[in-house]
Amino acid sequence: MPKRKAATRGRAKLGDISAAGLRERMAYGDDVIFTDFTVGGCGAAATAVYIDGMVSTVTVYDFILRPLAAGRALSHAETARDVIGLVMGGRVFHGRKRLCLAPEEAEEELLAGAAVVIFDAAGAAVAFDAPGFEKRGVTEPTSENVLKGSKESFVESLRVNTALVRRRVKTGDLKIRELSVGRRTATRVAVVYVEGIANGNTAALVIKRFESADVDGLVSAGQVEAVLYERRDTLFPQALYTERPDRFVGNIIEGRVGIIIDGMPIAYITPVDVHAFLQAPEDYAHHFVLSSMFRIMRYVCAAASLVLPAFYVSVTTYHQEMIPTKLAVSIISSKQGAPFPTYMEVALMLLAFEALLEAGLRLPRAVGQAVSIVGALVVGQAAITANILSPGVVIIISAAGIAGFVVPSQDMSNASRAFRLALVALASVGGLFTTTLGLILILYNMCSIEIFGTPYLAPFAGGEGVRMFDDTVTRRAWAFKRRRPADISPEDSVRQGAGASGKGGEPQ
Amino acid sequence: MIRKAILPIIAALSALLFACGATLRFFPGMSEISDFEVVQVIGIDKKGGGVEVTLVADRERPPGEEGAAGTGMTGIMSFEGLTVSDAVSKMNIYSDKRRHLGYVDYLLIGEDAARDDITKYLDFFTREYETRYSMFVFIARGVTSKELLRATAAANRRMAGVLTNIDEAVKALSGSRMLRLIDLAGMLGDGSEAAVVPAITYEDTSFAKVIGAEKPEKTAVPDGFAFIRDHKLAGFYDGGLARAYNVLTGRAHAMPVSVKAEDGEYSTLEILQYRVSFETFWDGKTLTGVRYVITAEANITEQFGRRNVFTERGMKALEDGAAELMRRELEAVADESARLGRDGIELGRRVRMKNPVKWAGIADDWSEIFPKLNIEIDVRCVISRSYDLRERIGADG
Repeated sequence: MPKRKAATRGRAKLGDISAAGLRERMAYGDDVIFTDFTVGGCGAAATAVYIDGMVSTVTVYDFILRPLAAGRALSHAETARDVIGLVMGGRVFHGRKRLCLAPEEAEEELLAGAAVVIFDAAGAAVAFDAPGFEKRGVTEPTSENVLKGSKESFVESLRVNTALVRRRVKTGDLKIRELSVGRRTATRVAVVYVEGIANGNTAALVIKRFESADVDGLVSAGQVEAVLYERRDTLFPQALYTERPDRFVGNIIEGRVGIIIDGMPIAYITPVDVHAFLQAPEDYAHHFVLSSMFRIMRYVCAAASLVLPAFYVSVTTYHQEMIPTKLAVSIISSKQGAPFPTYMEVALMLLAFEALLEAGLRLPRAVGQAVSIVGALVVGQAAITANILSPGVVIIISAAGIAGFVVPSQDMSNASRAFRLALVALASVGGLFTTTLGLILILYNMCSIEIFGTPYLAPFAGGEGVRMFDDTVTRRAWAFKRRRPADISPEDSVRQGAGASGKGGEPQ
Repeated sequence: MIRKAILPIIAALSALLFACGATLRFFPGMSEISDFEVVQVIGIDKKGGGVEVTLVADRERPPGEEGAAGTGMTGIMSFEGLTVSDAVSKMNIYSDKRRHLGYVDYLLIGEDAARDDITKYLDFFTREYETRYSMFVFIARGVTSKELLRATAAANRRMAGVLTNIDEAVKALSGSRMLRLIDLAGMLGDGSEAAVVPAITYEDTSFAKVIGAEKPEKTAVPDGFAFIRDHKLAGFYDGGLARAYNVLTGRAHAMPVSVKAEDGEYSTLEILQYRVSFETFWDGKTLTGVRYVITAEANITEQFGRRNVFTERGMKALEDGAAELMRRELEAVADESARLGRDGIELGRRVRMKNPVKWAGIADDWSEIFPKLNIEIDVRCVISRSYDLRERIGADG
């Protein structure tokens, strides 16, 4: 600070900030409050500027304006420059303050929720941190509820979210690198990782990607994913999102990198493989045998959800011999009089199913439930009774739909829904031949994805090929999970010691 | 670049396939399952100088139709032709539904057709890939397959279901077996041995409780084995011979054996498992005889008399009685096979497996050797479980 003083003393003004200039720049910003006052003692003119609703007025009045206007601490100051010097020197106590010399700096601080005091005579301003906007309290997660586990979820405030993480990782190695992304929104983005565990290159790449993002703003998850995702030619999700701080932390200490975005009640985790999208937070709360059982069921359901409608179209339209005789008789009887070919029935039902889902999501909860009941029960039953649809198709689409809901990741589920429809289209053309062709293309697409160097199908394809069942389709007992996943190349691969279970390695 | 091109290529390919799928020969033809009729059983009979093929098509009643949904209806159709394929080719002419052989599980050959030449009636099905591996074959004994199928359908029974249940019944009694067409083709191809095919017939029965009014009805029941020699039906193995055939060929499951205990009352032993050891006796390159040693384990499932049979003497009497009964049956089936002039107990296979080198020297003459061969059969029976948890009520001591 003495250096700055020495450097500026020779000039008439410290910078080129003026209240009038800021007033002009913020014209028609009716929520921007300009308050002119005189600094107590020296009589220097100053203007306090803040945005109503974004700052705590109590803080502004009692801890900024009052000490400046009525306090004796600045009575020795003779000029505005002296006032600024004393303020920055600590005569007016405040937790976080910053000297702004350029109008852009002052504007940035103002928009970030600071109260800015402009000294026209000095051409400079001091920004006082005084956040006080309304924010939602930490509540229970809405889409990742668990019985055995934390009931906290992320909220829209970045600082609250970083605090939720910090509270769980009490080490100085936890790094939270904050960036401002978006030309218009200047959204604060925090890249979170544990130094010494996370791969340094991965963390640097993530930071670089956000730093170099030349976007208008980050206001939706899609915009964040557009910045974060490496591949644009796939429907598969490439980063895991979660609203649970405990899940976020679990991944961070595993060596992954987290991204928290101001204004979003979710946080992203990268790099991940496909298994992350088929794992649920509660997997780690159960006995490993139960967890493994549930996971295997999820994989089976995910496959069934993807393939079942196409398989049904294939076998009923091209490969009837594959159907057991009794089932064939039953299907034939149920299809008597149905006017549409099977592939059209399936496609119509899939579209109806998607429409019901969309309607259920967009409408208010009570109305949404009514739509589901009317759509699924009344219309479905009526369509069967009227012989417009066959019951077999309804059963298949319902089974595929329910199996799809078992997939914990909505992004993966959405991708599966799109592929499901495409596979039905292929099945209608060449049965299992074209369905298999479609599945090969999907597999090819998955195999070709790499997320910050981590193969999507690792450890089964493209990865190190080690510890393949540690935490993928199945989960090993905690006591035996001594190493972090090799495919994300953590700097410290050892997760825990031999006595991890507390009982000399007994599985838990 | 390639990656970027893949999705549009897939989209274009999909659109192309959609547009041209119906006409492209490259893909299999599309046909709705509802256009098919499921034919599970086919009967073949000799008809004049040609063939009569009878199809049994099972249909479920459509939902909403009068009568409980899901209950079956049976349709019987017969087509005549000079050959089997000639008759089968007509099956799609007079129908609103398409019929194909993909679902055919059972083939019934009428007795007349079997006596004529079973192989010529099977030829069509052995060439057909859809039936070659999956189809089970039966001989309709004393009746044409058409009559058998009609009688079963008239009793409101699904023939396929009846035949499936026969398989279950066979396991409990060991009096028959299920024989796949491909296995039968193998037997017929080996001229040195007989083909032994399960036979079924129908019996009058009544189902007062089921139908509501007692009336005579006919239903298919297993009836031993048909003995096929030189591709023609030459005889049958009945009752005890049938299960003896299964024992000698190692295909028997559980079977009851009723013998008299010391007090003259019957007790039933259930043979649950048995082991067959086999020996051959040679004089140089000449096979002079064979010996089967069968060791059976049995349970006592029922005792008519009240006398305590669980004494050393009583048990031995039961064991010896069961062994003797089994031995007589086994010798009888070997004798019957010899009488019919061909190896119908798969003895040749056992000899070949036991002495493959020596077998090569006698294989060509096996048809002549077998009827004269000395076959010795020794049966030992051991009661391993009595099920006698406590003293019987009214035991005489």
